Amino acid sequence: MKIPIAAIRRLTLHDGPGTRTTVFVKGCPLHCHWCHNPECLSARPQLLFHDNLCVGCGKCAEACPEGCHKFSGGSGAEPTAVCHDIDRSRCRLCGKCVEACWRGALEICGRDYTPEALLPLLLRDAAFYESGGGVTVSGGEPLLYAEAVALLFSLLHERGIRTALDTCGEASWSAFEAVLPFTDLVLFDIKGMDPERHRENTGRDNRRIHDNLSRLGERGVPVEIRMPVVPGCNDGEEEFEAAARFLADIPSLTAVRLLPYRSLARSKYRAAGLADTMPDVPTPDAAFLETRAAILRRSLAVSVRFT
Amino acid sequence: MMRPDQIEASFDEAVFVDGLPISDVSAGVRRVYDEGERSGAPFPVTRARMLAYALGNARLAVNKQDAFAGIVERHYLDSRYGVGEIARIQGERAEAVARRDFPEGFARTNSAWAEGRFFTQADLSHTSPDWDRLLAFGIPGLIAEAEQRHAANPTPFTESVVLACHAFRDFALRFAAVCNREGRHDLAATLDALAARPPETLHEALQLAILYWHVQETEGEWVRSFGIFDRQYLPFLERDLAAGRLTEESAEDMLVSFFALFHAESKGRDAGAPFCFGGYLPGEPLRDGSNRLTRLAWRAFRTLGTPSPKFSIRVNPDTPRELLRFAAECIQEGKNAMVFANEPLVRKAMLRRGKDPSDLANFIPIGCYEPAIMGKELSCTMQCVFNLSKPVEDLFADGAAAPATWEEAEARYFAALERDLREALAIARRWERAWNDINPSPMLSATMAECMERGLDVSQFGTKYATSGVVCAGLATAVDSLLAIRTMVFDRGMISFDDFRAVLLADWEGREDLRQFALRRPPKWGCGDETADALARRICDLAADLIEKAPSAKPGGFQMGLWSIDWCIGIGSNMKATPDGRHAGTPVSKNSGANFGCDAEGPAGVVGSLSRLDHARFPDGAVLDVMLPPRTIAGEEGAEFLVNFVRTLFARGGQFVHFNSLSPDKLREAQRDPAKYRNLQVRLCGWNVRFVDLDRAHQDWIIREAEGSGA
Repeated sequence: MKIPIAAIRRLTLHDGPGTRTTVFVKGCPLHCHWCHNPECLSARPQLLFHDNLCVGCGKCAEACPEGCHKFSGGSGAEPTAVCHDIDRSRCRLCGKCVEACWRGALEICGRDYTPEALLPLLLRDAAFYESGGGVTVSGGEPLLYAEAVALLFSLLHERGIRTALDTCGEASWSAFEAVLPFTDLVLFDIKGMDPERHRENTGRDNRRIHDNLSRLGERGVPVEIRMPVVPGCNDGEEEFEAAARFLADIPSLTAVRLLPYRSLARSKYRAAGLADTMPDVPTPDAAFLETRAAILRRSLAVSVRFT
Repeated sequence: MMRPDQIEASFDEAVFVDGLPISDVSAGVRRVYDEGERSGAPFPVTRARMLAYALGNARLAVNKQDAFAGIVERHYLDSRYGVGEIARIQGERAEAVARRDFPEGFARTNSAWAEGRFFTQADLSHTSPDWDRLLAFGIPGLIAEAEQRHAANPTPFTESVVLACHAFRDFALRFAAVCNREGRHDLAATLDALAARPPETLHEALQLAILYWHVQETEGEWVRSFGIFDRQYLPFLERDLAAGRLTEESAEDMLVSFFALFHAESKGRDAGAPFCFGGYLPGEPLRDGSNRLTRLAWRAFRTLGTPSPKFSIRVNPDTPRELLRFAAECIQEGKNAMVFANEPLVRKAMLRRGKDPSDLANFIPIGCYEPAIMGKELSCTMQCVFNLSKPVEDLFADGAAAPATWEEAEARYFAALERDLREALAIARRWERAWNDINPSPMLSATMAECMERGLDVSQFGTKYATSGVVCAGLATAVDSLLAIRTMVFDRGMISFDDFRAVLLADWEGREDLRQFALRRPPKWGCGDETADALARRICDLAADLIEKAPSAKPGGFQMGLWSIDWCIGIGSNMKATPDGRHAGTPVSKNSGANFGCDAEGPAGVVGSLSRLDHARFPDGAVLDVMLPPRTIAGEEGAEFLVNFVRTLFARGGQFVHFNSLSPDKLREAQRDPAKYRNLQVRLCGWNVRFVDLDRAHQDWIIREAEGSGA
């Protein structure tokens, strides 16, 4: 029983209450244009290339048995002007180029862990969790690995550590059911209310997502809603009015947090060799977010915040 | 309420109305000194006369809006006015004593410092007066005790104390006359009262502290602690509140004016005036002493938002969360002139060194973060500065044979470490007795019960405790360098030892590839890596063993500190390239933390590594610098995170911690446009400065540190 992990971040503050460690799993059923963790879209390991760190030394090309790394342009005197292309279709993820690159420009993202193997890494910071923090599994979509996440959470519970599931909601109810007995808080994304636009923005409509959220509410599971606010995609007044109506019927909400779109992840698309789908729009400012938060606050009793 | 720049302006525009110009005071002090030496007078007595002369003739000023009499033209120790005469005389005497008593050791300490190896001195300025006693006795009480002791058994010491205490009173009276002349009869009345009796009100008590501050620093020792502020002054506040002389609001205003004086005097260009808060009260069961005055003082601190004064909190499990939360919010606002102390850990370290449990309630951080017992300890916390990373450089010395194995390389490092430490400690020991010849300190001694009972100056170890601090710097540079050798030469065989030597001598020229490997791949201190942490532990254990066991002239002996302050720049400037990827001449690692950019696991990793050291073995202090990007500590979560971080670090055995939250972009902008960022402060080491006042090297160093945080 394994989970492909993209990263483990320690001392995170915005993935649930208190000081936490957040585990990012790989693989996601949605493909949001604005995804800020594109390295978590695919469940498979990927070669990441951070071009800002490459000095064009060519050691990766020497090490690569498949001839994936190609250099052109530049010269010995000006190695940084070298153009470094990677033929990913030939890459077998052997890791030899990563080993050869002393600048750290290459890395393989994605390593399988069993829950038992993850546990000691998460326990390192147990002392930090004591004032209300814990472990969050995010991604990607953790419910793709519901059984393994359930086991991980149960192991954490046995050690008195609180758990949070950060989900896009696009999963079978049985996946939720597997994890919920060991989950203290669900961080649940609402990415838009209109089903068609939702499909355009994320690749799937939101029917199952909303059904799941309603069921979490019926079950009384504590849920914190996270709403990415992406200009031109899901930031209309009517979207928020609809969201307010929908969320007002979820009795177990603990809070709503608006997540303003930021284009900081653009370099990650480049690193993963993916087409950049991030919208070319500015970050919503506080005044705008306040108008959207105000709409939600009119219908909801819980705190509505943005960062 | 005045803004910091208005406070400064008011101070700077003060018109001095009494006394002599600086050059005349200097000449006069020198004349008194020369006459004393010519006449063969005991030096402590001459020293007291010099103090009396300087206090009797320094120029004084009072403004019509001043809440306290406190503007004194200062130059005695002060580099801001050029090195003053008292500092010059100290320097001359220190050199003369060293040349007389241990010429070879003195020559060696100079050559060792030029190599970035170690530095020893007679540290005159890291001992705290007994503030409780000063406030209880007042000036007349100190005089009465001194005269009584002198009458019973006259010695040069008792004579010097009598002279110093009278100089203190005369200074108060002269300041009172100045206030009267300037129409400030209210302040004059306070000063006259202080000349006649102990302080009764909060205003009088704070005024006494200001006077004493000037007197001690004129005597020749910086005031490196103003004591446990909230505990010392609470009775005065409560009396004033009960009597209706003050409200909480007017008390807070008074505190702003009081603290502002320290800022106006220094303008962020010295190490800051240290005030301690909270912590356990005397007696059992242990009870935290934070009180309403704590809250008022911290509010005043936040209002001022200046680099000086600097605050410390003695944190224990009973510290009110709201105090930590308030401090965290100050940090969020960039008002970060503060350090947090792990009180239970410090108490453990002090008990281990044989201190009396009943004295632990008087633990204060001296200077930056060096624990000592207020008023009872001669705690020369910077008697010796030692570079743990220098012995790595020695492995590559010219003519040294290449070690055949990692074990041999490691053993040679430890042997060189031991050799250097023993040498440094032997010289440091010679300095221990020198203070009395350099600068006997009757005023400071007069505040200390044991000095008076024993008839011995503080510099003659008249105090209950006497210790010498050995500051060990460059731990991360040492650990990372050794493990780079292990990884690259022995485990991977990437380069021979001799070739590595050539690469380091050439400062990595043409071998950026190797340097990048050294920076990124070998195990690093501060990432929770077991190999690196175990090596760090062995280095610290060996150093602590040697330091604790080394013969010392003082009953309390030598004690280890794990910090560097900004000596890491000076040390590094004298070192060649090191195997950890560091370039020649650049700083070694700072305090007890990781090398910049090598804390791959972030602050959690550093905490993990630190938890593997026994901080009770660092009775001379150990401090972690935490640099966090402003957005990380923003908002409610950020403030709670800071509180939680302090609590968790201390639960895991850390000793002191302080924070910076700086954006490198903003710092670069401040370099380009200093006028716009005049009040941007940074926590440099154990004190705050205005960023724009730093020289370029220090500025760039801070920017590197901020970048390393991923800001």
